[in-house]
This record gives sequence, structure tokens and C-alpha cells, in this order.
Amino acid sequence: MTKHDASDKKQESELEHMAEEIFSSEKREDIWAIIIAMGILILSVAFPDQIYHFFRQALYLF
Amino acid sequence: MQQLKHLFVPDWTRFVPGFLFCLVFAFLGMNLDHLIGQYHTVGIAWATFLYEEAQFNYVVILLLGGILVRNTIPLPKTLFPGISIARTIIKPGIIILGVHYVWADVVRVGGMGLALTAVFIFGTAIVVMWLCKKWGVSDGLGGIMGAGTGVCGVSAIIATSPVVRSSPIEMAYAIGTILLFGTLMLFTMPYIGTSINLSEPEFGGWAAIAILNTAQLVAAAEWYGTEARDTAVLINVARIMFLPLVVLFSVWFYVLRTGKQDPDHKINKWLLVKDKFPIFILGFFLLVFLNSLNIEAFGNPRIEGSPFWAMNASYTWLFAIGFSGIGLSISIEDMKKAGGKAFTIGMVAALVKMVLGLGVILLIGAQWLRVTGGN
Repeated sequence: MTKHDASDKKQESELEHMAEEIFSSEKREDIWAIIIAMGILILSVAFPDQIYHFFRQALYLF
Repeated sequence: MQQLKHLFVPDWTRFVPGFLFCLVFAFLGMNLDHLIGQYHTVGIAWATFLYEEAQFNYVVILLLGGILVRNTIPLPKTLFPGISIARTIIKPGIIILGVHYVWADVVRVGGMGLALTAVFIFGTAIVVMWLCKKWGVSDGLGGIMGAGTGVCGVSAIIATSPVVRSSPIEMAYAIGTILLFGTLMLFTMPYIGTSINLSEPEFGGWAAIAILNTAQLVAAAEWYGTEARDTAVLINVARIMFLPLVVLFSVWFYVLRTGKQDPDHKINKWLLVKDKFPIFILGFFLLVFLNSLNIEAFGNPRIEGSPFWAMNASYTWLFAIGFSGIGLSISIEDMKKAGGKAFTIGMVAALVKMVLGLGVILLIGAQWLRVTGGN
């Protein structure tokens, strides 16, 4: 195997590893997105007025 | 328990400083927007000019402010990992927007969006890949540019790169080009839309065809108006479902069709589709489903005191955190990496998509693109 082939193979495996890592992190982000949204849904069911007040009034200082 | 552990990366603490920085930045931007809004309400002229004429709302404040901070103040490198993940907070915002739709919208606007995106995604991918073959561009660059200009930009480039064997420099060129054109479109399209009197649903449809990146698309459409955003988000959901299919198409175009498959490294097509499927849209469809059932316990965004009304108040803040992340991660240095043949291909694809997309949207008309939310 030439030096060039070896470097190509190394680059390919590095790219594959990077793509795998990013896509597993995208899956993780997707799951967190669902958890955050469902958390807000549960809180909104339990305390609708407080949640509305928090996002529409309490967070604004002026 | 093992599954739960996968929800955290081992070195998650490195994301904390940058993410907190984005939270503070979003908080300041939202408060500035609110302040300008209040001055506008009491009739102060400069505030009215900013609010009405210049369309200077929280989206612009956070995006332009972020770009300004990132490119003028030397931010510590410890902030970068957290800034880069802040844009993903747009995803729970998109899920929560599910309460704005009913199935009739999904069928009408989403169906129209599905047809539009299918034509434009595969049309762009096929034309770009064919042009690359004609111009003697390597399979590595042609494959990622085809996928990147067709669907979802950077994600598609990263997803496709291993199957078409791109080199790191080809990836840098392609990502730089996609970022450059995405940013240009984000800042120019709302002004073009206003100058040609495009209605909000039409703008939402046009942006969903032309702007590749989900975060940039949501930002441009939110900037234009709430109806534009509702249309753009629904069509985008239809679009990102195509990502696995575009990767599969690239595998066929560059590997299976040409017989270049490595016999020791068989490609599992079902696994490929499953891996690339964006599962967060399941949360979006769950809320569309609940809203469509018209359950009294959940109410809807217009019924004061109901859970969906309360939930609807939160998405602007989630978007604000995401837009802070976008603004703060736009580095002019990164966009300078756009170059070579990738730049020419990206420019041709972006311009053709913009012009053809606008023509098609004007032919379809606003009534097919307007989200009713059950009204």
C-alpha cells in the first residue's frame, strides 16, 4: 500500500468518525428538544397562568 | 440507566460558559426589543421608525448584535462550544409551534410543501451533481455540494461526506459556501419580500425553498411575520424528512450506480435512513395531533388560561436563545473559506433556487400556503 493510499484511508475514517459523532450528537439534541418541549407542556398543564406570566412579563425588566 | 447516560456527553461542562453567555445575550436582546416596542407604543418617533420602517425586532437585534460581538470583540475560546449548541434550542421552539397547526394545515400546506421541497431538493441535488460531473469536479465535492445545496446545508454535507469520500478541504469549502449564502439570504430575502409586496404565507413558502439551514430559515421567516414563520416551519418539517432520502440518493449516484462499493464495507440502506431521521419532528406532530383533537383540557393558543395558551408564550424565548447562538457563531473568517468551484456551484444553485422558487410561490398563491390553526 502506498503512503498516499494510507493517508486517504486515514482521512476517510476520520471523516466517518466525525460524521458519526455529529449525528449521534444530533440525535441527542433531538431527544433533548423533545424533553424540553414536553417539560414545558407538563408545567403549562400544571401552572398555566404562572408559565404565561413568567415568559410574557417576569422576564422583561422594562 | 445506560440509555440515560447517553443523553449527556462526558465533557458537557465545556458547553456551560458559552451557553450561559447566549442566555444573557438573549435576555438583553429581548429586553431591548421590548423597550423599543414600549417607546413605539407611546409614540416616540425614532422607536416607531425602528419598529415599523426598519423592521428592527428581536430577531435582527440578536442576529446583528451577535455578528457584531463575534467579529469585533475577542471572545474567549472557552465560549465557542456553548455558543455552537445554543442554536439547537430552536428545536424545542419548533416542537412547541405544533400547537399552531391542525391536521388540515399539515395536509394542505405541508402537502404543498412536500411537493415543492421534493421538486426543489431533488431538482437541485440532481442538477448540481450533474453540473459537477460536467465541470470535472471530484465526486467528493460534487456529492456534498449536491446534498448541501439541496437540503439542510451543513447537516447534509456532514451526513453525505463519508459516503462520497470528501476530503477535509472539500468539506471546508462546501461548508464555508453554504454558510456564506445562508447568511446573505437571511439578511436580504426579508427586504426583497417587502419590496415586492410578498404576503407573509408566500414569503414563508419562498424562504422554505431557498434558505437551507433550519435556524436561518426560522430567523428570516420570524423576522418577516408570524404567518410567514408558521408556513415556513411547516414546510421545513416536510423538508427535513427528506434528509435521509437525499443521503440515500447520494449513495446511489456516487457509489451503487457506478459500482464503487467496497465489498468489505456493505452499505445498510435501512440503517442509513433510520440514523439520519430527525426524530424531534415526532414531538412537533404529537402537539399537532393533540391540538387537532380539540381537547378541552389543553385548550388552544387563543383560549386564555389554557395549557396551550401558556405554552405558546415560551417559544419566542427559545427562538431568542437560538438566534443568539446563530449571530454569535457567524464568523467572517469562516465564510472567507468559501472558495474554488464550491463557491461557483453554491452561487448558481442559490440564485436559481431563489428565482425559480419565487416564481413557483407566486403561481401557487397565498391561499395554499396560509396556516389557519383551525380557524
